[in-house]
Amino acid sequence: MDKTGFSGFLRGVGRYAPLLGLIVFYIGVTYLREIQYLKAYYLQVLMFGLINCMVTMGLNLINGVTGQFSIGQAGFVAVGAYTSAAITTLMFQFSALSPLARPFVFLISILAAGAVAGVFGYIIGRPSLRVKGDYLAIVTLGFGEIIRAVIRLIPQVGGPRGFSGIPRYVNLAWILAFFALTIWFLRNYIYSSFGRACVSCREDDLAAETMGINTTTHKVQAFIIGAVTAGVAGALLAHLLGYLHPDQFSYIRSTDFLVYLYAGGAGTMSGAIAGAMVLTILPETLRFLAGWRLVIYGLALVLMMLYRPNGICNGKEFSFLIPPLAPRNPEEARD
Amino acid sequence: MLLEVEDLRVSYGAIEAVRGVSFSVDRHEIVTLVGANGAGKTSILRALSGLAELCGGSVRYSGQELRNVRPHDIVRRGISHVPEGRLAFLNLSVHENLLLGAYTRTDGEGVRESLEKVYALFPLLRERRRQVAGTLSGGEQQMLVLGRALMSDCKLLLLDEPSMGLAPILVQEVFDTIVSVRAMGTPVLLVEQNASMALSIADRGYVLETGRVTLSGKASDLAQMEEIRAAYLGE
Repeated sequence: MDKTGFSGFLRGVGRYAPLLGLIVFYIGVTYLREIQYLKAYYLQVLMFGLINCMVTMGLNLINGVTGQFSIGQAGFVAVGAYTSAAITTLMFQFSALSPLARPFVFLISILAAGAVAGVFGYIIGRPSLRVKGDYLAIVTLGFGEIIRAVIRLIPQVGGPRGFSGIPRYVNLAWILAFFALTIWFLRNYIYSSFGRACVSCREDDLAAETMGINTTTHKVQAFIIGAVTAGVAGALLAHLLGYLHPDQFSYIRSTDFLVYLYAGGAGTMSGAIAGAMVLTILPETLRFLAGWRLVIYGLALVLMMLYRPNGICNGKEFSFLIPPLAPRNPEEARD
Repeated sequence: MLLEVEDLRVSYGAIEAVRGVSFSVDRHEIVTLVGANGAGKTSILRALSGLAELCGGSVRYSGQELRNVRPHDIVRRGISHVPEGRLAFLNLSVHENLLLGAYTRTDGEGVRESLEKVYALFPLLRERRRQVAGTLSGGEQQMLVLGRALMSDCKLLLLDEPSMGLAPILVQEVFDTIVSVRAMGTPVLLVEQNASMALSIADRGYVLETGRVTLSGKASDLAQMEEIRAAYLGE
């Protein structure tokens, strides 16, 4: 393989093409918004879509890659959202801070959101991974509902009335930055030996164990990383909406993430991204149908499952979601 | 002795599957455990690789007790178990299956060498390396899981019913491979219902009946014994 000259240069640029694409995307969207072509409402939908992508990518690691069936993902989003909102709003009085300090405080709140969600991921994952399949699904479902019930009992974060007055600090740049970070981290994880171990847990627990893979450790790890991703996305969501309510994070929301993942194609990051994007935007573009909107949306899901049972992306991965050094085929496989 | 098993007991709830079995495997040996369905053969292998809990007795491997060592740690110590029913990763390619076999290893150079060895042993796997394992035939899958187990550079190979569900010509091929594995220096503990085949390649054998060893000795002697011929060889 020639690493010098023009082809080497192109290859070098190719590595950063996804990042460049993202920057061009950002500039494009900002410009369209600037000239009032893109309504604020559509920009908001786009940002929701990106946040949903992050949550779904995290869920993909648990359900798609490691083969566990978790339906409590909204619970982790709630943990992240409330944690970060509590930090910016209650601990720091965000609006009273100087504009220079704000990004740092917000960043801390995001990290804390991820960390707390991760701890919850461990607490839930460790004992509940003793059960499998349907039973695990029920345990995670129960967990999500407990989180919601507990939030209702905490008056400091508004309890059943909801948590208002959260600074609406998030913009497209913040979301795109964390979106890119999530993709980068999850992509490299999935294609590492950890990721391969996760896939082997999905394919066959017993065989994985006879390969010397500690299946429990890898399942819990996947659970934690999926929860951290959801927590970070929750932090962004809280500061995009400015208002949180426990009912936003019910099991129905968890089901939405599942639908995004399976409609897009479980097991691939492309599927998670495409599913979350398409199914966030679709119901919004169907608004002109008024009452028929959800009928058409449901019908679209049914048709998708009938004609594309492997999801929108059909189980394939966009090439930029495969790390440059991953063993794509035996010839290239070195280490 | 590489592996010494003494008074091994395995129970599933109230049912005692293995009731005090003792045997040993030395370096460069093929040892076979033969017996009918339900004799406890598979349970013994599962106990050795940590997949089933020991209720009593001891398993000493290279002088170390293996009781209470978890399955993935046992693999790291050099015991590779090919479970019954093959269990290839059906949605992954042949190549990926083999790489997963080397999961515990960190020596990239050594892994490549093992890969070459496995491909030399099973030229067919090299041809099909990009194919998804689920598209291989039963015999090919058996080759794949054997190769996958060898990728761990194990010091002892446990094989559970490698002939199960294979055409006679493939059974012969699988057993030839087991002989080559031993020739490469890896001892094999082979569990089989196909007693005549197993005894034909093994050095020593143990006959199991309802969780106990009833006969043991040189494989060639066992193959000649009247009661074994009657009970297991269908003569």
